[in-house]
Amino acid sequence: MSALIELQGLTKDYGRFRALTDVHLQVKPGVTGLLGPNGAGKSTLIKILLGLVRITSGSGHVLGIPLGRFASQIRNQIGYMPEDDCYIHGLTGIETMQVAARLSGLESTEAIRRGHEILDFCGAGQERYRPVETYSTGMRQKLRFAMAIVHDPKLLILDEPTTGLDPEEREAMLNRIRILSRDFKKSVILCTHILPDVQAVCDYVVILAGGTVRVSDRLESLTRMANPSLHVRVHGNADALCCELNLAGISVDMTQPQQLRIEGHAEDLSSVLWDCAAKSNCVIRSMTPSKNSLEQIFLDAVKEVHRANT
Amino acid sequence: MSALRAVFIYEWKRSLTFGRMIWWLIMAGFPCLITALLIWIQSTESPIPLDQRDSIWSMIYYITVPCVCTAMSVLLTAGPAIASELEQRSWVYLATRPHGIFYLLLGKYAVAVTWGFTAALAGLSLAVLLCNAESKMQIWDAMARLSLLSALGYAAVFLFLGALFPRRAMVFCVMYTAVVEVVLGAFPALINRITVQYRLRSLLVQWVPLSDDVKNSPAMEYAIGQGSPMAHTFWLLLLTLIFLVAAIAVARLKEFTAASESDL
Repeated sequence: MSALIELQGLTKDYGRFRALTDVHLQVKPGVTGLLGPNGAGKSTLIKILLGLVRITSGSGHVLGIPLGRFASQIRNQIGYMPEDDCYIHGLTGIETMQVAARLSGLESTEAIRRGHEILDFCGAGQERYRPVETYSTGMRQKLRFAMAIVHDPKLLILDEPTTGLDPEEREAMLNRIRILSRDFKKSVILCTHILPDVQAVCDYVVILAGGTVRVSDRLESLTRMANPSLHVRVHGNADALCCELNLAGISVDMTQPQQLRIEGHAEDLSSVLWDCAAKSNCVIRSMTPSKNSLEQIFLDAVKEVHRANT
Repeated sequence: MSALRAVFIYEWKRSLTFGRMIWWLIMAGFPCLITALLIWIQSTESPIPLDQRDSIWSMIYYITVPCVCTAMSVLLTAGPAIASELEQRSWVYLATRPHGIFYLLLGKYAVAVTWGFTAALAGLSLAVLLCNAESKMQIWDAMARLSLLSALGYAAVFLFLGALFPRRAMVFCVMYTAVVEVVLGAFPALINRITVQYRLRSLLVQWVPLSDDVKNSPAMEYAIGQGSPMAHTFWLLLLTLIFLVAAIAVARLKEFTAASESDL
């Protein structure tokens, strides 16, 4: 699978401040979560990809087009949803969509048709005929999202698309991202601080911290534990079960009441576990391979930077 | 062209706010107010001699219409073209459209020109009707052409300054007008040839019925160029084109960041 974005040794300085240091990154087709604490360099990286800021050193390609001189060619194929409100004051929702479409090269009639089509996809009703200044946060998010996809881009860069949304709207927004990726084969870079959103829709995760890429891998590989273990939920006397397992020479931790983490592979442990449960009069309610939490991976990556700085 | 039309139409729509309309009326009303004042002074004190009327009214309209009314209207629309989008945080989105920067600036330029020119034309038409000049039609025709050229030239200059200094666009535009157009533009040196004022003044003396005294005054000798109206118009349009291209180039190359952005 060829990479959508390839960056080699990319560095960006703002005067004496270095925002990005020697960034090497490959982003593959699919949904990629771009994570990082504030000041990590996420916005700078996005602006570089969009050709809004120039790189100090290094090189890169976006959709096979070299960064730098060919920024407008790259922008033709990228849809960008900024974090900040970017609506055009004084216009209605549908007029805003028309301006966005026509600035992307669509003709007048096609721009109107496309504007309505995308607003329908985003679940915008009659609000589209209201001035954008009167919109709620949810409606503004929808409009920003709609403006980003109006020209049918290959790659979408979404900056905090679910911030400020209620749970229902948030799920709807994530669902739209899933549909675009799954049914329309769009690649998405999801820049967010909301880790459950990344877990819900992303195939890949990139963690930026201190201006460098700390983690870049498939979400599935990252959340897989280094040492295999089982997460077991029980009903009954969990302490007794722990004692039985210890007597059988198995290492066990009680992570929460009625929840145990047992080191080892499921196939090796299952018969011993069932025996011990029977002896301790415990019921096993579920048994799943343990996973690393994305939050822990994120915190570890950020901690590394703090440690290096101090 | 669809993008340019869209920006033009919607920029005009955005401009039709109560505050902007009031400002348009003030600008259009300025030449009329000056005309009314002069007519009142003439009626109460001594009237302007008949042979000097056209010269005096032409000079008054030159100052009030292309220099004040048009330039000020254009300053208010072209100067903050980028700053307003940065403040509203819409710049980053508009700039990332495939041809966003080019058409956005061109559209805003067209709006600034039409905004300034319509205000000037409305004010000029009413003012010329009120005045007691002999060659009203000739004065109106010359001032309308000068206003159009003034709008084209100043809009490009202010758009360029707005792109160069988006945070203090209005301040720099006013400073430029005062220092370069008014002071340097009046110097009898090579530098005044690159000002809009020099070209407008040179066209003024050829297009309006000025008296020989005014035309042959030593001040005029240094303040105006000797070329044909066609040549002055050409140089003014060339200057406009250079500033316009420079504004677009600056906007494309400059790394604008929104004022609120702290997250790198």
